[in-house]
Formats: sequence, structure tokens, C-alpha cells
Amino acid sequence: MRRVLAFFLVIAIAFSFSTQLSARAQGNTLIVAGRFVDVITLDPGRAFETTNLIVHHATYETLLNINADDLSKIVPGLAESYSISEDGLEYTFVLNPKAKFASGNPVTAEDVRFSWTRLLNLKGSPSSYLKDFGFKSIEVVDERTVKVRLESPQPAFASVVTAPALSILEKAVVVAQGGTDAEDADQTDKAKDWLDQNSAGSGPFILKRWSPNSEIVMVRNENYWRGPVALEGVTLRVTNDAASALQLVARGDADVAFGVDADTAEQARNNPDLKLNIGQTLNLLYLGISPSDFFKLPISDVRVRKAIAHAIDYDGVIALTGGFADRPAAMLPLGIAGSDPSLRYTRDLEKAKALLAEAGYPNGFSMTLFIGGGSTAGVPREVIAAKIQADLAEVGIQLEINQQTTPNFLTAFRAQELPMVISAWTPDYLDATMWTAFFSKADSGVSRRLRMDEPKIAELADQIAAERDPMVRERLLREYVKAHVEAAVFIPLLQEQYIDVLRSNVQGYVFHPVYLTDFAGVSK
Amino acid sequence: MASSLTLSATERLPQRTWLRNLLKHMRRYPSLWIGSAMLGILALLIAFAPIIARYPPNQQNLTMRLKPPSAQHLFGTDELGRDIFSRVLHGGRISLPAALIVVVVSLTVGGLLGAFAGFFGGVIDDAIMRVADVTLAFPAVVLALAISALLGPSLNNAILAACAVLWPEYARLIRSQVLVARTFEYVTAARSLGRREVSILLRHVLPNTWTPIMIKAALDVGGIILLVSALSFIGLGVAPPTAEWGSMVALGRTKFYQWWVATFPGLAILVSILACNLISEGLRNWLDPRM
Amino acid sequence: MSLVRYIARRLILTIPMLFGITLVLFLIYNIVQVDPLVMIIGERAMDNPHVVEAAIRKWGLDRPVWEQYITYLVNILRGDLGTSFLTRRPVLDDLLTHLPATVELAVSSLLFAVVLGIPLGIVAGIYFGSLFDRSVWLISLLNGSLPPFWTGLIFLFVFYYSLGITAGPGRFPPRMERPPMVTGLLTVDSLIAGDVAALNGALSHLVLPTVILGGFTLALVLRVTRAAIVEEMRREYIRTARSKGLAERLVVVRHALRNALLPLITIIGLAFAGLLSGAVMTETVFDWAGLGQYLVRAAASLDYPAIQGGTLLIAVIYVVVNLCVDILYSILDPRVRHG
Repeated sequence: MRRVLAFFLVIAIAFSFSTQLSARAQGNTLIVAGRFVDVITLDPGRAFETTNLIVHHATYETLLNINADDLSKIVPGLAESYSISEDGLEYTFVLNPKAKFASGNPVTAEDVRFSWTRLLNLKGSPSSYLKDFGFKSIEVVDERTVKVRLESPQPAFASVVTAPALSILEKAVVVAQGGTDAEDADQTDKAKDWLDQNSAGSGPFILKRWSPNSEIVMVRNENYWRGPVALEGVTLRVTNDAASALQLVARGDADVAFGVDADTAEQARNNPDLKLNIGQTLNLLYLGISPSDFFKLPISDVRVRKAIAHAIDYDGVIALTGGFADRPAAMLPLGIAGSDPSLRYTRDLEKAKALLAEAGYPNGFSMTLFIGGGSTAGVPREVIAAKIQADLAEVGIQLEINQQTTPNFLTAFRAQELPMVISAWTPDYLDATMWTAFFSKADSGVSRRLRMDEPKIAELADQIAAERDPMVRERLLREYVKAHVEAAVFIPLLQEQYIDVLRSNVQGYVFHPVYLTDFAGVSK
Repeated sequence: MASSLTLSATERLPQRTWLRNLLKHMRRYPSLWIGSAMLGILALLIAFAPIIARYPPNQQNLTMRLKPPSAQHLFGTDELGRDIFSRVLHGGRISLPAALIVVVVSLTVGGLLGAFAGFFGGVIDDAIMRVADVTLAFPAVVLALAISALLGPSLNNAILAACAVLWPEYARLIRSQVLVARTFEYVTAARSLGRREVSILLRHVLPNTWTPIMIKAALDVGGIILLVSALSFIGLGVAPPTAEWGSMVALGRTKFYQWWVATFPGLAILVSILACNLISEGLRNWLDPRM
Repeated sequence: MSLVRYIARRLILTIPMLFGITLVLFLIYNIVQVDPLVMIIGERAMDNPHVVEAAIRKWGLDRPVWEQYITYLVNILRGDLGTSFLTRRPVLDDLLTHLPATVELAVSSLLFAVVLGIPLGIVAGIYFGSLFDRSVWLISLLNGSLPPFWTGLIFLFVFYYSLGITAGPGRFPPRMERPPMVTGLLTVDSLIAGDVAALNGALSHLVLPTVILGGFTLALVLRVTRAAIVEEMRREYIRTARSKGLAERLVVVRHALRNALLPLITIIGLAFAGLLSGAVMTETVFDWAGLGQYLVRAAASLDYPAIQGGTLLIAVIYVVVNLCVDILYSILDPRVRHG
């Protein structure tokens, strides 16, 4: 027996020894824990997910920028200035002479031409940034000047240029790794594997390693042309959920818990070592109700759709997020000029019942609400759906919830098969067309999926896309919002706020609605 | 076999002796009786859930979000202010019947196939057992995961996936039992009396394979409860807002500070699996004392 | 039958098995038809016909199903499992990236189960019916009844978040520099690099998931060992030995262990495969970047090639492990070769 006891003692000691955490810290590196699981590639010409935006903004630079402090202002990036021709078809960018890549080489006009041409010819999803805006040609004028020609005037083009997909890569490095901007680049470009593990940019950080589903490691660019930043590096550490991320931050194994839900954030409030950073996103969660006769459902009657809009307990929905959310009137988020919150629907059960009775459904009706997976503002789709189900039941509308895996849901949605959905919309660049181009037309975008045919909205969207005068544009956007509220097809439920939990020694951390965050100004 | 002997012997005895024997049996095989009692209580709670629970399982009350256990809400409330006690009880109405259905269906389908394979041998045996072998070559969780992912998350598909991974186990078990039973004398005798093969199989061979099957079936009910809740935990099982233990744990996962959200449905899984394991263990001690 | 012939026969029998596995996978994946396009090119780009058309051509989605299957089979033989819709990398590369994490956890859990299970089983068997025996029995029963995804959450909350006595989720301390990648097994890589701190870090992160994942196997091993000892003790000559004192009992243990070895090998072989699939839950809870997590993610996004490849790989590992167990068994007990 004694020998057996000794044996267990040895095992116990071995285990407790191995749990002694050694605190060999990696100096001044910021550890960010979050759900960074969506990364497919870190090649700026191919990536089209969310996490890559963070990485690309840290390791590359774009010609122009939109800073978090003023989302309506486009500021210089690698380009110190730009001009637009009288007809709106020609953009000329002049590069900052001081700009250089991490390698020490200057950023030239040829690098710009190469990066954008490569993006276009890779024919991947992000090539739509250029294609959708009628990008016609790009031409090197001299060492520091490039000229871009468009098919038609596109007032939104300057904000598109700030998208991380349009980052500038160092041609010499990419070519040396098998990259090309040739017409058939989608077949012949071999630089992806290298760009997944390294960066060829001019940003404040350099990509050191990406271990899928595990971590993305970036280190400081000592050659950064604006001067080296405070942090020695940034590691994005993958966790499966906000709870894991918060545990890591609370125990000091990470510095930032990225994008947590409100209930998790609430737990951080009681902890003096932690603080919250709250960012207003432009991400919308909406209830989409098809106005089409196709489904042979009561919702084709606008009075029924308005009744639904009046039956929803919006404050209760926002309470689900712990109050970390807002709500615009239509599919144009708050913060974009022209978005008018005074037009929002409010809960009015009497009015909802009256509208239903008027439409011939005094006792309500039943139908199915379709949802996919995922969550917005930390609230899973099924929870929001259950809330809407309970709200509508109060006016006699019985919803059955049909949840599917996200790809199944999106496939059916895209095939125009779903009469009522809850879904979300996240912008890629900051311009009103990011919404008006997708929620207006009968033959394209999300509006097509719901079989919405509202000529007035479609016409306004066209006018907005072509309008260059900001004042006129804002007036058109106000009309657009009003028309959407009248149609009651897309009912915004939430405009998400992004909550990051930081350790209290982290300074200078700011949220950005497109790149999510900017590590250049962070110190600890 | 031992079971039928004991029972027929007790039937003829006067009542008080019968009671004394029962008590003696309880003392000798406590795990069987404790397990049965646990499962019985659980079954009663679940059967009368609508009466016992004070709140409907899906009734929301947003002013009562994430409240800790109290007299009003025995197990606290979840993020929609739903009563977790009620949801745990109603969740049992999914998990337990689902597990029973899976075991009964797999037992019937796999059992019959295995019995035919063992009894007739030859091509039938080869065909059935090769399919079973190939199915068994996939670890259960992985195959169930793949099946329910592709059919879409729903209770029916989770049940289907569970049946798909369980039937070959029964086919294999019963086949081996039948192979043994075939050689018994009374089977040879029945055959020489000119009985039809199928009736020999059903009347004489199968009844003698009960012992290992019951032990396994009890164990599997617990295993399937775990499998179904695991599928729901990763979002491939029961669709919301239906209360189900695995998906309740999943929702409570991010609410670790509100410990009650994930703890009680998890305990429910634990208790029901434990009950099944105890029953299986007790049955083994009683009916098959070799192990 | 000679050993070599037995092994050869078992190997040949494995081939139709592997073929059957691909057939089963093919059948499952063709019952359901979902448009995988949306996963390939993203929701927004679905409205861009240029991108859609290029993707359809590239992925061969316009070809008939049987043709896709034939291509699939031929490709498997060439070692090509296709390209994941989700990660857009060759599935085989993805699987190999994620395999070491799973193997590391499975091996560590198996070691945990064996190293702890056999001695506990021996003691419980010797002191059959004692308080120790009963409490070990109770613990192993509980162990077999715990849902790992739930226990994992609770352990993380209690031992990491609240008490801080174990390492948290993930495979490695976040603030530590990982050892240079050689095998992908962080413990082995740390050893190769001669980095004691890194080894310590990797081991500390193994503790919780190992206890959770290995717990079930531990219960199995314990049970088999205990039963073997009890059976041996029951034999007549043992009763004589018992009267002679404790030293004699060790003889019994040695004898009983030899008898328990065969069932133990079978159980450990099966358990290893079980560990590979049990990892699905444990990895999800512990942010363990292994095969299980890869499969769960692939399942959630209907990544056909990845689910197909991952399931195939796990099934093949399962078959191979069973094959090894059978062969080992036949070496230790020549009777099975004639059975």
C-alpha cells in the first residue's frame, strides 16, 4: 500500500509542477483574444472576411484613410493628395514621398498599379470593390503619381479606396514570391501561400505567422515611415467564444477580449483590472418581410407589415444586448449622413391590432420566420427570434422559427425562398451606397432576395449613387429612409455596438467601424 | 435465463416472502434499484412537467433576465428571463424519449438484421455485417456530426444520426448471441420437429439473447442522451427556442458568471446518464455475474 | 496460420473496408444538396455574376454528381482530398495542420488513463469491497456519466478563472514564444528545442483537457484491471496465498495483470479511437486547434471536402489502430490466429 501511495504522490507532484505557469512575458506585445476564426487567407488581393481587415490595416496601408474620430472625412494615407476630374471619371493620386515599405524601399506609383491590377485579375470576391465601381484603367504618370479612370462617375470611389483590400503591396517582394498582375493572375499568381504567413506592406506592423484556428502573430515594423509604434507586437489569439476571451483577460493571459457580448462585459465591470471600450459599429440586424405576392401570405399587404413593425418591442430587443445597441429607422445606420432616427417605428399594440383588422386579419395568422446561425451584439439569432416570436404573438401573429446552418439559410435566402428572415448587414467601406446599393432594387442585392419591387426606393438609390453634392445627397438619403419606412420591408432591430474588454493598463485603444481597431496608437 | 427462473420461483411463493425477497434483492443489487429510482423520479418529473413547473418553458420575462435561483425560480432564469427549472423539466421531454426511441429503433432494426445474419449465415450474413463493419469504422460522434450537419439541425435528424451509428452495434451483438444460441440443443430439436426457420429464430433463439442486450440497452440510453445533447451543444441538434439540455448548456457557456444557466441542464444530463449507467451496472451484477 | 500470413490477411481485409468507408461518405454527402457557392465566395459576392461563374468553373460544381465522385476517389488515391470551401487550402494540408494537436491530447489522455487507471484498479481489486474500492467505483461511475462539454466549462471556470491553479483554454501560454515547429506536437517540439519553460507551458495547458477527455477512458481501464484482479483473487489457490500475507498478493497482482493485459490492449485500442472523436467536444470547449474543432467548424459551414476528408482521416486512423491492436493481440495470444 505504501508503494502505491508513493506512486500517486509522484503523479500528483508531476501534475502540480506542470501547472506552475512560468511568466516569461513577451515584452511589450499586445495579446488580443477573440473569435478570429474566419480567416481564410491573409493575401489582401484574396481575403474577404472580417479578421483580415484588422490584420491588413495593421500591416498594410491604403492611399486614403477614414479615421475613427470623423467618419465623414477622407484623409491622406500613402497618397498625400488626390484630385477628381471635372466629369468625375478620373482620379489622380500623388504619393507621399516619405512613404516606404517595411523593406525600406519607397512606395512607388508602380506598386499601386501592380497591387490594384493584381486585385482585379485575381478575380476573387474582393475584386468587386473595383469592378462594381466601373474601374476602367490605372496608369502610372510618374514615380509618385497614378491616374485611375472609371466608366461612370462614382462619388463613393474615394471611400472605397480606404478599404483594406485596396492596400498597396510591394511589387518586388510579391513578384519574387511568385505573384503577378497578369490577366490570368487567378491561375498563375502563386504568392498566396507566402502572403498568408508574411506581409509585403508599409504598415506599422509586419505579419510574422498565421497558425489557422490558433493565432496570428504580428511584430513591430522598425522601419515604419511615420516612426516605429509603441507596441513591440500584436498577437491575435483565437478563442471559441467571448467567455474564454474574458477569462484570459481577467487572468492577465491576454490584454484585450475582442468583441464580447453585453452579459460578458457586465462581468468585467466589477473587476478593477479591466475596462470596457465601446465602439459604435455600422452593423445592422434587421427583420426582413417580403412584400411579394409570391408567397401568398398576409405580409404582402403593407398594413400587415406595418402592424408587425408596430408590434415589436424594440426597447426589449435592445435590452437583450444589455443596452449596448442603437437602432436606425431604415437600412441606413446612424452615423451616416441622412439617417434620421425620428422616423423609427415604435411599439404600439393598439395600432398594430387596428392595422391587422383593417387588412382583414383581426385574429392574426401564422407563418414561419427563418434564421441562420451567429449572433449580433452578443445575442444569438435564436434568442432574438424567440423575442420577436413572443412580441408578435401578442397581436395574434404566430411565428414558427426555422433555424438552419448559416450556409443553408443564405442559400435559401438567396434563392428567394424565404418570406421572413432575421439577418445582418456589415459594411466594407464607409459610404451610403454600401446600403442603398443592396437594399433597393428588385433585381439585385438583399432586396431581390426578399422579392421587393419598390420603384420609388430603387429610383432614389440610383440618384444617390450618382449624386456628387453632399448636401443634395443627404436630402435624397432622407427621402430614401422615409420611403423605406413607408414600405416596411426591412425593419432594423439593432445597430450593434462593439464591446472590447481591456486590461486597465492598455492605452490609446480605439474602435473603427471598418477595420475594427487600429493598433498603431496603442501602448501599455 | 437466471432472471426467468428467479421470477417464476417467486411467483408461487406467499406474498410476505415475496416482499422479503424483493428487499433482499434491493440490498444485493443497490445500483439497479437506485438507478431505477432515479430514472423513475426523473420520468415522473418530466411527465408531469406542465403541472410541476410554474412557468411555461418558453415564457419570456425580460425584467427577470439572468436572475439567480430563488423560491420563485428554483434554478434561476436565462437571458430571456425564462424559468430554467421549467426548461430543464421540459428539456427532459426531448432527451429521454429521444434516447428511448433511438435505442428501441436501433435495437429492433440492428437486432433483426443481426439475428438474420447470424441465423442464416452465408451471403445475408456477409452483406449485413460488411455494412455494419463499415459503419462501425466511423467513431460515433464523428459520423453523427457529419450526418446531422448535412441533414440540417433538428431533433429528427439528430435521432436519425444516432440510430445510424447505433444499429450496427446491436447487429453485431445479437449476431454473436444467435451464433451461440443456434448450437443449443433445443434449437436442433425444434428444427428436427420441422419448425420453420423464422419461427425458430423468433420463438427460441432471440428470447435467449436478452441478458447482454438489456445491459447494453440501458447503457446506450445514457450514451444517446449524451450524444443528442452534444450535437445540440455544437448547434446540430434541437432547434430553438425548444428547451433541450445540450443547447441550454451552450447558451449558458458565455454566461459563466451566471453559473446557474449552464449548471442545471448539465446536472440533468449527468443525473439521467448516471441513472442509466447504474441500471446497466445493476443488471450486469444480477443477470450476468461473471463480469 | 503463421503470424506473417495472419497480418497479411488482416491487411488485405482492410482494403474493402476503406473502400466501403469512401462509399458511405459519398452516399451521405449526396443525400443532401445544398448550394455550397455561398460559402465559397461569400454572401456579398453572390450578386456578382462574374465572380459566381468563375467559382462554379473552378470548383467543378457544374459537373454531374457521379463524375465528382469518381474524381474524388481518384484524387484520394493520389493523396488529394480536395480543397476546403472554407479555408481554400488543400484539405489534407488543413488536416495535417490540425492533427498534431489532437494526437497530443489523445496520447496524453491515454497515458493519464493507463498510468492512473491500472494502479487504482489493482488497489481497488486487492481491497475488493473496501471503502477505497467503493469510492473508486463511485468516481469511475461518475466519470462515465459526465458530459465532457459541461465538465470542461465548469473546470475552466473553477480551476482557471476562479482559482488560477491551472492554465486556461488553448494549447500554449499566450504570452510565451512557441518553440520552432518540427512535429507540431508542442511538448515534443519544446523538448527538441531544449526549452524547459516552453515544455512546462505546453504541459500546463494539457492538464485540464487531459483530465476531461481521459476521465472516461480512465473509468474503462480501471474497471477492466479491477475485474481481472478480483477474478484472480477468487481462485482457489489464491485463497491459500492470501493467508500467507501481503508479499504473496503481489504475486497475484502480477498473475492477474498478465490476464488483464489482453482485454486492456483491446480497450486501449478502442479508447484511442474514442479519444480521437471525443476530442470533438473537448477541443471545442478548450479552444484546442485540433481535428475535432476543425470538423465542428466544417460541419457548421457545410464545407463538404473538409467534412469528407476529416471523417475519412478519422475513420482511417480508427481502422489502422484496430488493425494494430488485432496484430498485437495475435502476437500475445497466438490462439486468435486460428480462431
